[in-house]
Amino acid sequence: MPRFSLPNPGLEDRIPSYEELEKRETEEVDDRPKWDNKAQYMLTCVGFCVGLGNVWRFPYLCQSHGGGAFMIPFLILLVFEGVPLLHLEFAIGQRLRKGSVGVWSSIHPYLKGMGIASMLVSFLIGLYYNSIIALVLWYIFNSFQEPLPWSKCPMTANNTGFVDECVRSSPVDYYWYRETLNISTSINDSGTIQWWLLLCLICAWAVLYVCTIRGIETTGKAVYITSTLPYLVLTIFLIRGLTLKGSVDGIIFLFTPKVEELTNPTTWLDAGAQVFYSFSLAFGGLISFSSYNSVHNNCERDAVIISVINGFTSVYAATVIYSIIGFRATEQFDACFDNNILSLTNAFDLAETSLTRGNYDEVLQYLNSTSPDIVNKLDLKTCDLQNLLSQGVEGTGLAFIVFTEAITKMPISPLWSILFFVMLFCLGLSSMFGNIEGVLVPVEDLKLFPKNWPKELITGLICLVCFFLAFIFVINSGNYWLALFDTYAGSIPLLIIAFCEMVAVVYIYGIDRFNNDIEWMIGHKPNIFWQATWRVISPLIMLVIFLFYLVIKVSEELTYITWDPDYENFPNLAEVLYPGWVSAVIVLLAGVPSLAIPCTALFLFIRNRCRKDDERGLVPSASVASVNGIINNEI
Amino acid sequence: MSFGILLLAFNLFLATEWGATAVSHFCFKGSPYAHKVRISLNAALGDQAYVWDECEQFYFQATVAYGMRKSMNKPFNVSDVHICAETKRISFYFVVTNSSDLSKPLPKTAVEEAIRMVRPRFNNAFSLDDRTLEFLGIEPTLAPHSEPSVMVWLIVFGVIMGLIVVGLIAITIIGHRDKIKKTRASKERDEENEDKSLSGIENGISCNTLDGTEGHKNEALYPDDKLTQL
Repeated sequence: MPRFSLPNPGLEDRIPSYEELEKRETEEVDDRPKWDNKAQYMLTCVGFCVGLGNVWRFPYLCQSHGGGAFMIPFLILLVFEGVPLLHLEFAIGQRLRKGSVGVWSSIHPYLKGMGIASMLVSFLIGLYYNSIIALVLWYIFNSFQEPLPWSKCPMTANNTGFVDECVRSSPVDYYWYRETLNISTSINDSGTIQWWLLLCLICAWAVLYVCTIRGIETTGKAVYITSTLPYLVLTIFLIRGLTLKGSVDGIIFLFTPKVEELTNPTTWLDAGAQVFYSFSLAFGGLISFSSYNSVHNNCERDAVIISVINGFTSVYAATVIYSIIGFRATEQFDACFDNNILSLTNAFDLAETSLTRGNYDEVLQYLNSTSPDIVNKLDLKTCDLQNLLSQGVEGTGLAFIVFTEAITKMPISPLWSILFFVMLFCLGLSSMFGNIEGVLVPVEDLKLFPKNWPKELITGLICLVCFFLAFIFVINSGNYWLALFDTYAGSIPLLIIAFCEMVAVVYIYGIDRFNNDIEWMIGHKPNIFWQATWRVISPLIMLVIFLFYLVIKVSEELTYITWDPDYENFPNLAEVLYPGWVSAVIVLLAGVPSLAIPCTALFLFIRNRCRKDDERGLVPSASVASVNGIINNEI
Repeated sequence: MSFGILLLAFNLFLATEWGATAVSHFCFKGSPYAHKVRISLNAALGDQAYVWDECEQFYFQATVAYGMRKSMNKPFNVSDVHICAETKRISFYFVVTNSSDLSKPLPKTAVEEAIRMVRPRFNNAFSLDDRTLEFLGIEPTLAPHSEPSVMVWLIVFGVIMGLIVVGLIAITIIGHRDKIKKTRASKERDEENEDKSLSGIENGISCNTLDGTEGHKNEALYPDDKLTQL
């Protein structure tokens, strides 16, 4: 294992020494904010890590990559990639007691770019994440009515029938694409701001502002609710789900292992990416949160506990989601079958109860042989439960289309709808706390605002700027922009930052110094597992994932899916090529944070060089101690 | 006379026979005057479904006649409603003829109008609804949607925004109060420290020493001989 570390002069001056930290600890001279108790810290970190991705990305990945077999790569990569990186971020934050910009600048001034990159990524992701929360709020506001507005198609203006677009697709689709998003047919078609979404956006940013107005003082109180409520709701949904018909089919389908998927490299790639993004690593928020801890806090145990909780939540949420999806698929299957039976009964004027599920196949065969033309005209659909179950959906489609449809079929639907969307709201909000922390603390460290401005004002300004920038997500083509940000703003830069973090701590800060730090902080040296993963295994995994990602993203065609009523296969979503200017946007989104690292280093290097040239004129001299101008040794 | 009665009877017989065959001219599947009716008793009533027998059929004819009477204000009878092509599905065709002239079936539009007019009563008569008692070709008029939905979500939005504003004000006030308390506490602490350190010290000489009645030897004026011995 390589034990070299790059030369790093002046490191001792930049970081607080052990004695200084002990002094700060005992005398409480530090004016840095502090957690009220350990529970707040754990709940905040859990809330940051556990987010919407656990609910709507993991179940999809699990089901599409071999069900129960997906657990194997997921757990392996959790242990070898997630936990080491998490421990690293916690330890370095707790040791250097600064946010992301401060920590990396302390390790080496040229590494300030890593903090800036984290800040930019947190900023971009916070922008679109809160817009998703605004959409969740819209659904919460509209859940307070019975029947739910997405359960039936609306009527045309003169009450002669139902709106055509709704009839051709489905009420939930229509409600999502037309009444909520009012989506245009392409990203070129910007349209205007949808006022109802704007109101929801105001509400979302206002709630976030109120919760983060004084940093962890206020978020520490808010997380008691936002981090615990999702678990309560998931449990309620599990109990409710298990009493519904077909739910167990869904769970069985989810966990049925297909071992041959393990040989597919995309499975491992997706598992690694999911572990990485699910842990909210490289955002800078975790480093900040950890820096508010007492200096002898056991960060190793925290990292393990939070990883376990995160993994468990993913699996738990997947179970709940798929119990409900199983119920929905069974409902669709029943409806499909009954429809077929009705068509046949009506066409051939058979007695109502003569055609049942039991004798369907033989009767169909008989009818097909005697009068095939009538049967063909009927357009009978094949009803396959497995097929319905495997129509995996992820992302906003899962929450706002599939799940809402399932909810309309449950009795007392408004209650379930409110519960579900409040859960999504809490999951999203607690993740936003981490994002905002990842933006605010670097802004303070970079001294972008005058020092005497109160924290409330700075937080308010940041929220206001983000709010205005988020207007792009509430126009007609807003959802396309959201998908664009989702795919490109987070993926590549985070992988680069995480890889640089590991290299910086292990080779620039020095793994020996790091080991000593941890021994001083928690009492024992990190064991061989941590050494191996920090030095070799985790950076290697990050590198492999990054290269694969880069290759895949660069080589694939830039397409996106649109909602186009004129599409021939409507209501399926049409896959369309991105227009040319979107490539520039993608380069900006992914490139600017990534390039912040080398560019800042270069900029600081050049600035240092210029300064050194200026300073060459001065003569070095030692200063002498004197009292009242009289130097002591003259008397 | 008996021949006359015989002729009359024969004529009547011929008339009904001719009437029956006349009806079968226009009551058949695909006739331009006939409507198809489809009844789904099991779907509507499940276990409580009644059997569709002649009495129910009579009831149906009577209800159609009632509808025609209401719509056209003419005295229609049960015998004016002719049913044919019954199937086990419980579906059949029916035609309505003019009471005065058996050979003239009424046009479809007139029948449609009548059925539409009394549709709710029709459904209730058989404990069915628009979906389970189908008149093919006569679409049920859809109930208009009530539209208060815009108000509901705005109300909820207003409530939540109100709570947020209240929370904001509360946090600001509490923070302001805490800050005033903190500055006041720290100012008091500073004053205490000042008093402790500054009280009784003038020119670096503690007042206590000046208060004392005993004299103090000023060491600087009397250098200790012990030290300067050669």
